[in-house]
Amino acid sequence: MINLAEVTRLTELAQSFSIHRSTGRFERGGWAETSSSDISAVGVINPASPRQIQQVPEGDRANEMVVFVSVTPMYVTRKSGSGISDVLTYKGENYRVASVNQAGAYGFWTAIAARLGGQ
Amino acid sequence: MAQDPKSFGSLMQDAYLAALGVVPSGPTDSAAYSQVRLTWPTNGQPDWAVNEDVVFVQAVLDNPDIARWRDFADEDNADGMHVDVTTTYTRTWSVSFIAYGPNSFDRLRAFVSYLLSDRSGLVLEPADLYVITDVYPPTRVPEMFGSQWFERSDLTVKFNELVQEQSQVNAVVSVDVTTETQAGDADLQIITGA
Repeated sequence: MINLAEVTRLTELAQSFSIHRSTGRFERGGWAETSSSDISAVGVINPASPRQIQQVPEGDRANEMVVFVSVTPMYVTRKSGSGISDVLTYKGENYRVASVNQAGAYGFWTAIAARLGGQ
Repeated sequence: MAQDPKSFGSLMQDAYLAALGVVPSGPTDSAAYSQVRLTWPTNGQPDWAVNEDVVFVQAVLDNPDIARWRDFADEDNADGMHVDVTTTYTRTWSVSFIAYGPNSFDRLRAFVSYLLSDRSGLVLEPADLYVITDVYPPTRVPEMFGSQWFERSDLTVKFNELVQEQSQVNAVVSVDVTTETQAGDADLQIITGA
């Protein structure tokens, strides 16, 4: 089986982004973040859907989905209260991981992330 | 004093855990508070397993006639320049308890019994909350998710809350009164406050 990890790091293709990973717990008052870390990563970043506006009476809201391919693991919300989905920052925009394809055998992770609105 | 949906949700966590006989070791006791979860968290929160007993609290305000009455009480402020106004009224919360897990139906039964007992007053009365005792029994409504049926039961309970709002208005410190005769003689009187 070919390990394709190197492809995600090719200088001709790869771009840098950061991963904000948080863990938390249920407390009085609801879910609360207890720790977080920012992880630098590189990978191939492509649009999954174009940025488009949704015009509602209250204003224009922009939606966008982006694909991140990297050797650095990316996670969606985990079971048993350990943490919520990673937030990926790319060119000043924040995207929450909506789905992850763990192609570990090929040496990389693929995440589809949705742009966080209102930021 | 008035509850907001978040603080109200915290009180419901206290009441539900008390009904189950669970005593949290502190406000960060995750094992206890993960059993009573508040809805609509800004950044999301983890889900729960099919065999895990959790309840979700959704609190919204109801619209009964009693919520339209307002009682106003005025009191002179010590500075002599203002009047303190206390507005008092009752409003009604309609709270959905959506319970999942193998013991969800029985947990709601225990919770209703708790609410209708004196014990609930220990948690609710300090927050000026009073359960409306006309409680409809829990409804069992299993839910399909992930190719399996999650045991689920729903309960709606209403609570009256005594709300007090404080405000302040400016006091009349003095009034100038000028009287004038037809001949044009004027007399100024300055009337000061109480």
